[in-house]
Amino acid sequence: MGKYIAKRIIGFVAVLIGVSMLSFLLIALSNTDPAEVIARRGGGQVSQDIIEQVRREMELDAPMPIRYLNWIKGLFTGDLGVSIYSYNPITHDLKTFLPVTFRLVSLALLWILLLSVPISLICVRFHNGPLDHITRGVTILGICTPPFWLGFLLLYLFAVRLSWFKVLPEPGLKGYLLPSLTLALPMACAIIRLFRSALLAELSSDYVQYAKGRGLSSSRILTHHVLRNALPPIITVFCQYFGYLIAGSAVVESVFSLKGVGSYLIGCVSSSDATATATCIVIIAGIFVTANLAGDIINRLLCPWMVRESND
Amino acid sequence: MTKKILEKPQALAGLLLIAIVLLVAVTAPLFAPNDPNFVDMTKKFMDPTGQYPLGCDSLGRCELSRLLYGARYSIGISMPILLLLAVIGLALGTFSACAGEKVDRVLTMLCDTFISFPSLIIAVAVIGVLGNGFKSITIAIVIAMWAWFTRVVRAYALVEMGKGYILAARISGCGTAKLILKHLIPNILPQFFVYLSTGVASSILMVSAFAFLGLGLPAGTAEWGAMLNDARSCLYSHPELLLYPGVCILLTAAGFNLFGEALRDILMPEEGTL
Repeated sequence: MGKYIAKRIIGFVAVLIGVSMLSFLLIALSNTDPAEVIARRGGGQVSQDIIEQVRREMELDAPMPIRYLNWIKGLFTGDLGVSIYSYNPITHDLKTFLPVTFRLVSLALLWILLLSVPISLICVRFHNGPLDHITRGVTILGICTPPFWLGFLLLYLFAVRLSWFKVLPEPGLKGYLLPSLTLALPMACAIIRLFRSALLAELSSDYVQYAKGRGLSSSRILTHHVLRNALPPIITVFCQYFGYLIAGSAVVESVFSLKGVGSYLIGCVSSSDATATATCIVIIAGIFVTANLAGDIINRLLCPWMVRESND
Repeated sequence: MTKKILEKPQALAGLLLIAIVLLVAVTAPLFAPNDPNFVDMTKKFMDPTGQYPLGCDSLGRCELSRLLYGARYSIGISMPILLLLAVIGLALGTFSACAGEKVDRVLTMLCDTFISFPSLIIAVAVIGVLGNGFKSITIAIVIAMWAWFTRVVRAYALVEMGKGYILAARISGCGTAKLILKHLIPNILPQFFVYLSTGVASSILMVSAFAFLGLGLPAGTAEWGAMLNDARSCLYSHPELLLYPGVCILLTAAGFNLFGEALRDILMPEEGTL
């Protein structure tokens, strides 16, 4: 067990280093000159001398590996400089925007959990019944629905027609209800489909036959035996989707005018703020990788018998 | 095979939707009643008339014509992306499965690194580097998704590599290149086609998400996602302008997903597969 975790953590660090290099490289390859962007942000005429001066001050003339190391050092010390997009220190921006996205994503995960587990259980309990068919139809439409459009539909229904909510973000939990639902619904549809087939696959196992033979009711077999055994893939999927939700939140934040990391990232890209973009990307990817690792380790702790590869 | 597809209502519905969208994309200039980009402020938010069946948008452009031309962008951007992804995926995936352990390990690691980024984030970063334009949106999505395709092909190929016919081909002196082209690829093609079909749906959704965010396409393009973004301020006054483009995206993506799914049920009939 310890060996497995150690091995996974080494792999995790390797992927993180790869991720940080890749995001830095993407930004460094950009054909916009950061020194010029910074010098020109005030507007007006800027001479070549000033651009050169900015370049020297920001140490942008240093060779690539040095700039990369400086940036990594900044990630750990929190000193990343000022964002060209918002004129605030990048760390300060992230401190204000990250919690918004986290609240949005956590609430969305809660929705997904509340929707997907009961619905997929019902589908499997009444397999090929009318409810199962309806769910199949709805979920296939759900995975094809663009989330931003769904957001507008919900806004129109609940904010314009019913006036339960305001179109602009509201303080507190209420402001997160519609955005998190928008983020959750397409994902929930994808997850219901996954769970449904995972649970159906379990149904053909011997232990289900045995439980039936003992005279247990179908519902009891489902909730007490099948659900437990289908848990590992479900946990993996949940941890994976945590990362997807963070990435997908950019679109939803834009629809609901929420100020989160996603909309910050898009703003940074549009104003060619290289450092802030790279920082956002590395943080989002870092969360994604960590969530995946956590899922694998939880699975491993829950089901030590699930040795997938012999060389673990 | 064709008979099985025709017998399955889900496959037919999917094919029908795909056919309609393709037809609309090709014949948009014939059926569009007006120039989709002609701005006429006197017709701002005009109600539907004979000449303008769905009315006009906030700049007085014909809504129906813009929707019809929008099919061109969705299909026109997604097809090259899928073609590139298919070629890269098949080439690297089969190569990785055949080329020996060291190469396989390096490629797998590279794929894992790329998969560690959510696709949307990679694509955003690439567009940030390359700037706007059809070429950069294509490159961005290819860079974001190639690792998934490569990984899937590699998994398919590894299953095939363990089978007897590959061994038989090897024993009868078949070289690696010939083995991949003549034996491996034809045998993984059906499963790969299923993956590709659902890939079209996700690439269409991704393109529209970028257009909605204002990344990748020039302002004023008659792309469905961009049209949604243009219409967002009309939520109170003209919500129908927000409805149409979304329905178009939904139906197009649904066509490919329905067809891909039915195809999978036909090719791989067991219930457990995802």
